[in-house]
Amino acid sequence: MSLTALNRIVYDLQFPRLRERYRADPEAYVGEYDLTEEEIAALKKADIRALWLLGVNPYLLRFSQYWNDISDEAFLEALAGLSFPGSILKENRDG
Amino acid sequence: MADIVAAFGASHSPLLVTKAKDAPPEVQARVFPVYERMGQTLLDRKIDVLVVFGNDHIQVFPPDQFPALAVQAAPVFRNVASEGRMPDVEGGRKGDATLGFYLTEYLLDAGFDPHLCRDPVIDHTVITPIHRMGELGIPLVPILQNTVAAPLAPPRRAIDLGQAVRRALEAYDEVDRVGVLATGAMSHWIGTPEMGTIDQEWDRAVLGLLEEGKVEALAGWSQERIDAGGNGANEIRNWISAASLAGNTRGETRLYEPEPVWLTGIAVMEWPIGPLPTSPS
Repeated sequence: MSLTALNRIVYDLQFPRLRERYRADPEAYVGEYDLTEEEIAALKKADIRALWLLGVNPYLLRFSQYWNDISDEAFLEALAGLSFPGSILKENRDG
Repeated sequence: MADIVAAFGASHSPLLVTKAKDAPPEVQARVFPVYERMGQTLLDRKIDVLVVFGNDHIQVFPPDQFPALAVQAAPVFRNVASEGRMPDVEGGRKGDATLGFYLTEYLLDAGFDPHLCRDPVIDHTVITPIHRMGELGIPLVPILQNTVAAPLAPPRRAIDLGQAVRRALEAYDEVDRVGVLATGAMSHWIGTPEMGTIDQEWDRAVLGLLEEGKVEALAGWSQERIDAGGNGANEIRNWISAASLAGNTRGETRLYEPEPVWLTGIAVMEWPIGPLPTSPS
């Protein structure tokens, strides 16, 4: 469980300077965060559904949509069948 | 003794700026002039500073160090680097660092624990309404409540905050005239499967309570009731603070325009300024 690190890398990658570093050498960059293989795979594929299911904060997920050039239609398609579970989640407690 | 001479609430969807022209022309014609008139009102009332009740969207603060309450104190604000799509202005937007520091100090004395944020960056919680109002050039002091990263303060806290900020401003001698702007809400879902939904019934219920001067009832809503308006609905805390600061007067709705292209109901409200309830002894 490393949702804290996953949220942190998705937050950091909003910023062009860090995104450049990530894109120049993704392996080295993700190694700076305490992430699981599953989380790294979801991040590298910009797999919106997987990132949602892993518990990424919806606001961070929304911004990741921009820097991954994902359309609103594709974003919502990726989340089809899911729903907003409320602002206070078990994941928030466990980090 | 600064006078509070204006209190507004206004939606802050960044799409009001980045997708301004994507909404139907008649919607644009109904919405943008209301923001411009709000800006003109602030200029006409000759305010020295604009206090903004807003919320960071996990751009100013990292998700693992998210403050429940922050006051931003800087002489100049720039757009946060993650909002490259949003317009900045030459030389940045002015801030009032002295007032920001004073408010932090006052709030600490009043029993709140605000984070003093010296990082001079703002996101669309400030940029959208200021830009749509025509930039104005009035110094800003953003007060940011956590509406995005659990745990969240109960909305009741937003009442206490609004009243405390009112008392702080009225005890402050370095400016004469202050305007207040709450930003964000109505119902909206950001980054969730429901994104694009607008719950007009929920929006009307919120605006209705504020129009009747029933901020206590709104602040009594459970988190579940707030969540029924989406994750963005948590931003009603900002409106609760402004309404409370204004003395919980009857809010006057200047605009309500549900616009799917902008992902939310666009609302603008003004509160006349009335007396605060007698302060607790």
